[in-house]
Amino acid sequence: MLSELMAVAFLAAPVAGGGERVDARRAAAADAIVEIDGAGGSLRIVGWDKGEVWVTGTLGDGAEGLELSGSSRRISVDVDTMGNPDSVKSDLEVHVPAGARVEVSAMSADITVTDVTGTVTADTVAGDVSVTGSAKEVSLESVNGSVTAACACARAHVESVNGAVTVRGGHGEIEASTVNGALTVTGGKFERAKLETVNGRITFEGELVPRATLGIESVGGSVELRLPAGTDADFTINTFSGSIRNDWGEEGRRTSKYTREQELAFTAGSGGASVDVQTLSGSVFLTKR
Amino acid sequence: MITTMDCDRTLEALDDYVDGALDEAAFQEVELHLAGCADCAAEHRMLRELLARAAELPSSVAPPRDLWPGIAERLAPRRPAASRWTMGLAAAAALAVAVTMVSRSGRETPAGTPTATPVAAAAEGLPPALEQAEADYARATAQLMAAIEARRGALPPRTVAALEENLKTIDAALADVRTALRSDPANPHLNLLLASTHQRKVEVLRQVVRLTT
Repeated sequence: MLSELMAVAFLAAPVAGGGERVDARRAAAADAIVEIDGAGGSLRIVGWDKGEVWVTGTLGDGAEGLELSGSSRRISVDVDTMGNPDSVKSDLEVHVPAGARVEVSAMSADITVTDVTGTVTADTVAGDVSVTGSAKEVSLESVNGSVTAACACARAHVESVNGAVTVRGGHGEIEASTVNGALTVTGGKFERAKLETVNGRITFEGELVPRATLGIESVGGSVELRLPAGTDADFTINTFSGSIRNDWGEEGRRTSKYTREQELAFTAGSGGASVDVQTLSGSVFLTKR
Repeated sequence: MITTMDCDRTLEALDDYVDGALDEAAFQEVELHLAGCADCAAEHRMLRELLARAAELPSSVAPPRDLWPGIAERLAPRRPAASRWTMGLAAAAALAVAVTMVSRSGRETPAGTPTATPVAAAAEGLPPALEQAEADYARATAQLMAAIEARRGALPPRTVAALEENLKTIDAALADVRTALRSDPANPHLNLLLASTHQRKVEVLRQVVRLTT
């Protein structure tokens, strides 16, 4: 009994302090929820085929220790810091069961997630976020950093304030936004896509399933849609002062002789999917591929 | 499809929900969520009330002559005024909802924090409903800015600089949309663009508050 209590205390207690190397393991269910709070530095999360969470790496100066705690179904990995967490730069690698639900939060860290097939939620205030592999659903945010999802995810929510947003290989549903950074989506077949930017350039290259909805909004950023020549969709394009170039032939019409506002509404193929693009001054390019 | 009991996604879809623009599955998910979430149900009720009040307002608005001399005399109706105006006020209603969301997630404004921003002054010359919504938005944004200011010490300096630069980008975009609106105040696309750009600023500020809490 005493040895068991000591084991629990060891696993729940801080593992090491600042500047120290860490090597800690904990049993985890295949679909465990793994919550990682990393403060600053770099966080690499890797999915593997073992039923445990394994944390290795080096804690940054100013770290009080690493806490690895919880049950096999819900595990927390926390870097304890004293003072401003932004100044603590740790370099950690966390192996998790591939099917785990991973939730990562950091103040000032680059976050990369690979080979996780479950759901990935990752956010950082300053730093880049990148997910590759086969995550089924991702929700990724950065205030000052780029965000990349290169995964066959069926649902993606991806946003950055000051950074580029890139989604490759996705399908299904996507919501993505930037303020200034480029927003690029390339992938397979989409049912619903909502892309927004203030001044970034939006590029969408994918297919639309029947009755799909593709909504794009930009103030000053240009918008390019690269769609298959056989796309069946109803297009509604409106720009107050931008230009419209359309490979399908129809041209925009001025809505008033006093402003440069243009509207373009047409049906490609048999229609069905809905494509709606609104800009203030960003130009719109509808490209056949 | 919207995940049940997900307030953020339900609130994002509320505009489409009241407009009847959601597919059946999403509509049912929103209905289910509203039935079980008092906060979101209150937002929905407020949006319905705003739209009902908007429908009672005049169906046409003449642009201020002092802002665009001569243009007002030459403007001709381009679309049925009712549909453009309704869409424009729906945008104002959406803006008001966003303002309420901000107010609920904001903090007490510290003493001395300005409650009015240049946005309120910049809104002059726009339709009354939008002017009021923008003034409310300015106060709500000030609350969020105060909350962020209280956390400034915890933010990396380069992030603070990047955030300020991007907020300037959004404010410049808002100014551009307002300029366009003054020449075409009942333009539904511009009204919606103004509302969504305000919403974007609110979301950026809320994101920073949330990630630094």
